[in-house]
Amino acid sequence: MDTLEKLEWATIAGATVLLFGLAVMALPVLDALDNPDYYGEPDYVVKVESGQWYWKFIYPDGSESGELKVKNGEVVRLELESTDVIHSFYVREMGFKVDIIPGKTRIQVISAETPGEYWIQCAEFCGAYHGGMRTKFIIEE
Amino acid sequence: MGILSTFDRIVWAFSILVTFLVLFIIGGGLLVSWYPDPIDARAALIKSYYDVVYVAGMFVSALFIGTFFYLILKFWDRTQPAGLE
Repeated sequence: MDTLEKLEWATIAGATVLLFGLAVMALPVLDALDNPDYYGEPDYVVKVESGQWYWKFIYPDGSESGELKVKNGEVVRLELESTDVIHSFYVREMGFKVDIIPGKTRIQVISAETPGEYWIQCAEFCGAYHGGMRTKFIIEE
Repeated sequence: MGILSTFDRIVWAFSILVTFLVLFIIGGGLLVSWYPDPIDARAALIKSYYDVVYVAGMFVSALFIGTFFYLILKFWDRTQPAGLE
């Protein structure tokens, strides 16, 4: 085996090891994103309605709000729906996006662990005022 | 020793290392993260994986760009005029 062949095999082996390693490391992250039981049993369910160009949060007692308010330490199950086009629920500090497809209910369980105010931003272009389709996500003490 | 001498290999490895360091520094190093501070355990897990992918991608970039620099160093025909005289 000459030097070029060795180099070729080293490149193939190196790329395989790198990609395989990244794939293995991705498994727990993918599970954390897709598993609705990741945080255990949720304390309550909030229905999230999205439309051009608003967010509406419907709490278990029937009250509605334009902002998402939860208490620190609560595990909340979000049931996200769209009334018109595709929207995407995105909180930067939570590291994920959920595309909301009209006619389907998307589930995402969140855990409030750091009190503060964060932005919920639509992350799927949904029309003229897409950029303004954002609201507050408030985690209270 | 084949087509590469020990000196060639050292220069090649050095080119890759220097390229990686330059990319790391201009990318913000450890001071800047491309992702905001996580606010829950899952976000911290996601961010830790993003960081690994970021560094791995930077390593692969350094491998290609560093090799490119090395090839320029090795095969640059210095007997030819550079056109800047």
